[in-house]
Amino acid sequence: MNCGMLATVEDGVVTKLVGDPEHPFNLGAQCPRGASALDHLNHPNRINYPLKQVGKRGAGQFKRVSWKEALDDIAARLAVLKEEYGAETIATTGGTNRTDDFARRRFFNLIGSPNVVHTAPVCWIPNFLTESASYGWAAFDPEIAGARCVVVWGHNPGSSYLPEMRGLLQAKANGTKIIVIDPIYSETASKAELWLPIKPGSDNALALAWLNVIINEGLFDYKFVAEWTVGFDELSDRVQEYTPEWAAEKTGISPELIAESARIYAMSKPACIQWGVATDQLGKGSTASAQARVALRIICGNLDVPGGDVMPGPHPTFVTDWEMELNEMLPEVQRNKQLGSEKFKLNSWPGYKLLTENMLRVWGKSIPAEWFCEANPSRVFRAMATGKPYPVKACIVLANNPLVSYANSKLVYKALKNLDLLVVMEYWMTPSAMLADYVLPVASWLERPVMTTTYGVSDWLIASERAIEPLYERKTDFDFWKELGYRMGQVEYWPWETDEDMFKYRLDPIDLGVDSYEEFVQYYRMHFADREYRKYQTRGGATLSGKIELKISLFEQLGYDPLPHYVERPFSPETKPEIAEQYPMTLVAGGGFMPFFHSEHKEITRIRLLRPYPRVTINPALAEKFKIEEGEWIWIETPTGKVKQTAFISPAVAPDVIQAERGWWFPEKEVTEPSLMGVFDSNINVCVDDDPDTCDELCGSFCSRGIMCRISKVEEDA
Amino acid sequence: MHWGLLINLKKCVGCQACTIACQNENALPSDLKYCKVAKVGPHGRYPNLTSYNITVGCMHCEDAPCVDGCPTGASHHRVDGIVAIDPEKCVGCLFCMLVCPYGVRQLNDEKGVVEKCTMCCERLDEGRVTRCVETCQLQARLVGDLDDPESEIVKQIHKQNAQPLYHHLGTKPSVYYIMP
Amino acid sequence: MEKQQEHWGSLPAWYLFLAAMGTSMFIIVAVTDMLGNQISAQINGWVSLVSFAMSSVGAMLLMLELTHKTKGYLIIARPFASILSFGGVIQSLYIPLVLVYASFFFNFIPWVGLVWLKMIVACLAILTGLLYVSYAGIELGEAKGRAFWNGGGLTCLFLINGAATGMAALILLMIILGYDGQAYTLAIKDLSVALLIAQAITVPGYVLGMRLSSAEEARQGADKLWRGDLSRSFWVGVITLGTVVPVIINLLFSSEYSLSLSSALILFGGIFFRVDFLRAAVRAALPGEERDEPSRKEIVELAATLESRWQEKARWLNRE
Repeated sequence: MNCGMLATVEDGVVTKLVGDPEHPFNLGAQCPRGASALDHLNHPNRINYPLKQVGKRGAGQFKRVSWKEALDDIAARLAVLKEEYGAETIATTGGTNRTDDFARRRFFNLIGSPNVVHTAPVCWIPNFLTESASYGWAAFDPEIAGARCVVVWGHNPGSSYLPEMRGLLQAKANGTKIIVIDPIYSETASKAELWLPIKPGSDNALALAWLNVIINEGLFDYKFVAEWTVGFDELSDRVQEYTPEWAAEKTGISPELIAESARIYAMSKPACIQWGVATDQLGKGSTASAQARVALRIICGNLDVPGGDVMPGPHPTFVTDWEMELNEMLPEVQRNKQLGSEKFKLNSWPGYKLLTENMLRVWGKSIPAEWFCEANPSRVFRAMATGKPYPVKACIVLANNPLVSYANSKLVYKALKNLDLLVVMEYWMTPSAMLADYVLPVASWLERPVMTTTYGVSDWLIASERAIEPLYERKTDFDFWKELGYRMGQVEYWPWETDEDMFKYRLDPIDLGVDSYEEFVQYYRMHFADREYRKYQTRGGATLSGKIELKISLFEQLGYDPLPHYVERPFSPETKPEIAEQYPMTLVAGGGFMPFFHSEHKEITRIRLLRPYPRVTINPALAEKFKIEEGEWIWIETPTGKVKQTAFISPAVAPDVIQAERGWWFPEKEVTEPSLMGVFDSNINVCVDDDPDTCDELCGSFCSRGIMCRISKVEEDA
Repeated sequence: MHWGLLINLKKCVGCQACTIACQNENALPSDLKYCKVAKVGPHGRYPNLTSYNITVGCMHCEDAPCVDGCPTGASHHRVDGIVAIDPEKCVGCLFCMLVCPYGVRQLNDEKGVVEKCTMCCERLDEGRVTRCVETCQLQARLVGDLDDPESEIVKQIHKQNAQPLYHHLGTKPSVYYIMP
Repeated sequence: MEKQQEHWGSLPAWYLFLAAMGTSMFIIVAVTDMLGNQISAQINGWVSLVSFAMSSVGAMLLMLELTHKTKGYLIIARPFASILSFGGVIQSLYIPLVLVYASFFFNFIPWVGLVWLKMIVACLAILTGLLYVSYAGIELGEAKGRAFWNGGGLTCLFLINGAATGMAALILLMIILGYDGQAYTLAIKDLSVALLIAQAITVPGYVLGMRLSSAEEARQGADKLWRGDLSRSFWVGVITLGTVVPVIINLLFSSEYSLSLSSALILFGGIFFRVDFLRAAVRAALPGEERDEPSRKEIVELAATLESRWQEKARWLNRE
């Protein structure tokens, strides 16, 4: 999410940066990253010029070249590869909240490759799509201020999303009950009324048991269920086996507490279930867990009501990302080649096609293909590494660092090394960029206009203008795709001169009478479409039945279980008894934490000094058992890999659970291979498996929460 | 007029934005922090735990040991209650660091003078709030006039029963805390 | 959490030691001289000079601790408000006074015969000297949040130890000047035995009292001495070698060698006493300080390493 900032510019130089008091998210505040954003803009290690690798990949021999030379060569090489292997041989990976995603998709649809990848399967998408399949959009705008109970499920806004935390605490002060479900005693859990310390990965079991209690005790909204939903009876039959006693064993929470918390949620109306991404990272069963929670929200009558989980729908007049993507330009035959779509059908073309049909009927618009209809990352990296099922020879990486951001880092490394052409557009020389043929300088938020639309699915938008023109030879990502598109026969599809022209075009249908984008920012800044509640009554559900589906027909169409059900965790003594003895502990590999954003900001000295080294949280009992002292480096090992982090001893985790920080690499370490800035030293994704058989059946999400692991002392200090 | 701060520990999540914003505002070297953030706990045994975060800066005590003890008069009270340091007069005897019960004074090695939170007195003089108050995403901080019974800060202090830290030491701090 | 008090390190400890020792020996000799003791009249000049030297060196050590030494005179700006300033003024008075006093014992000085003037100077020097040895305990007692120093007995301990070290220094000086075996020397020795016995009771007594204090940090500080990281220097340095052993020696022997040895041990113990008592006064821990955080030095070093690395990388990234 983007916060509003006010920049003071003197003679083309940003001299001061403060929060924008009128911005609805941050109300003038800044987190540590916002407060040091000038260091980000002016850091000596920002990429300022296009760089071409002239030595061996990973040797760090870069030569400065002109944009023209770089783009000409990239375009020519892409054309040759497309000719030889087909357009699907060209892939791309993306990041979050930094880019104009539609432009990437537009380019890829036009060249004809379906192989666009983000970390989408582990970031909100399984949740969003399950909701969309059930009632036609995601209810991702919980009205916390009006709720009597908020369930924060696998989410820690106290460390990752401060404006949201502010809202939660305000609500709490006004009497809203906060329930936090998290295996870790998080910042958010410490402020909650009730914390349910579940075993990592057992969210699904808890949600099913809640359904059992709420249905069997008759705490659901009879009238709503009867009038607006389908499939309740089947649901009711299905959840009979998921008793609190059954779930107690899986979750580690007593049956009484499970029942009690279910009652609090069901009997506090309206209530919200705030989304987080932890439940998208359970691997197998991620979507099943979303499915159960979707059912909870529905039967308790909290969907799209004031104080409940409100469903925005698309912005009616603004030209949305979906409208900008030109998905119709991607031929059916190319869609079918999307890697992983034969297995993980919900978040790829098969599911997206059905969802779009439903959505068009009700909303007149669909969700973007970016994020919601993508190739499976594990499959794409395997195709790069092995050439199976077909060779992927080129990749354009923009706004992400795949060696750190995706599971199974060593496989990703093999994949990237095996490419014929790797182009990375970046702020920084990341480990992934070190492997690139071209590293291109990208403009950051002060150097570009930014339009916030929550991945193109919100009914509101907030815009800001650039404070300064891009420094040095940095370009916006839109510029990059457009200019690369020019060179690949797409001239007519990129009619906009600048980012601002493009945004102006998209804003025009709102009909605000502004002459330029800057004028919109100056006079309006944001636009919130009129919103009505209970749209299932007025518009109907964007589903096959036209109702809210507890038994999801779209899942049935795709060949999946349409009802909430239990899926055993992919890594547990039950599923992998043969290694249970060797790997007796449970690893939670992730969770956002201050002061970093994903894998970024390690170079900002002030921020880095707040957290110089990666930390793995271990319980005092475990520390005592292994004679581990605070701050000591320890190995974390899974069957997939082994990295080290420093011990942070705290009872915030259970005695048999450890939580490792994610996103670690060390820009100060040796840049060249084999170190690559220590990318394999502490990066927990080295330990995270992405074997497709352990991934979510519907969305292909890999598991980073609840992995079997072991720890040991690092003998020599390294 | 007596400036004071109110810090709500029910809200603080320990993000350290105040620390960073303050360092940037005052162009401090990386090791100097006028405003420190610490996590207290978690204490207890999993899953029966408690924890909270606290931010500590100069308490701007009314009976300030640093001001009383300063041999040169560098540490002094402004008329608005803020404890300020005149860098021209500070000779670096460090006695103030010895007597400050909160340990918030630090020697700026480059300048050879003792420094600490100034309560952004220049900003307050201009009618703006302190940088830490401005940056706080959780709105856990409030600055105001402790002498004015109608001010928001005084009302909140009474309403929420806010107390200074270690008030038994009798230094009469101007920084109040709402404890979790 | 503060591991030990480290704002005032060993230089101030030496200062406290030297000032207390030098001033005490002066006061003893000046007072006995006024009472008509012959030997003190003979050695008084040398004692005063030594005392002058000790105080001057101590004052210089204190100045060395300042970051802005050239502005050191500002220290005496607030003598009636700041105890440290008061001490500075007293010190500035004492040092010249004791020098002037010394001048009455050297025959080439023209005013040697002015007995009334010598009396006035002696009274003033003794008075400032008493204040000089006493203020330090009061000064440290001002540190709120360092309850280890807040006991009223601290000044007494400082006086006892100051007097004991002053006597030890005096005995050494008398041995050097050839006055060993004199009744006066032996009287001083007996007096010092009494003081050391008092020290052997009061110093551990003070620490023990602090261990029972209601203030957490006082207990922590006392524990550091009693059984913690300072316990060896406390029990071995201060109590055994600096107090008990000299008492035994002085009770059993009175040769010049044994006296020299016991006196040296007392001085040695005095240093340990000052250092330990400065270090032990940890500050009351604030909530959240129970976790170790990187020291400022570590942060500075890490920041410097990172910054220089960024510059190095910048040259690599931006080369033509």
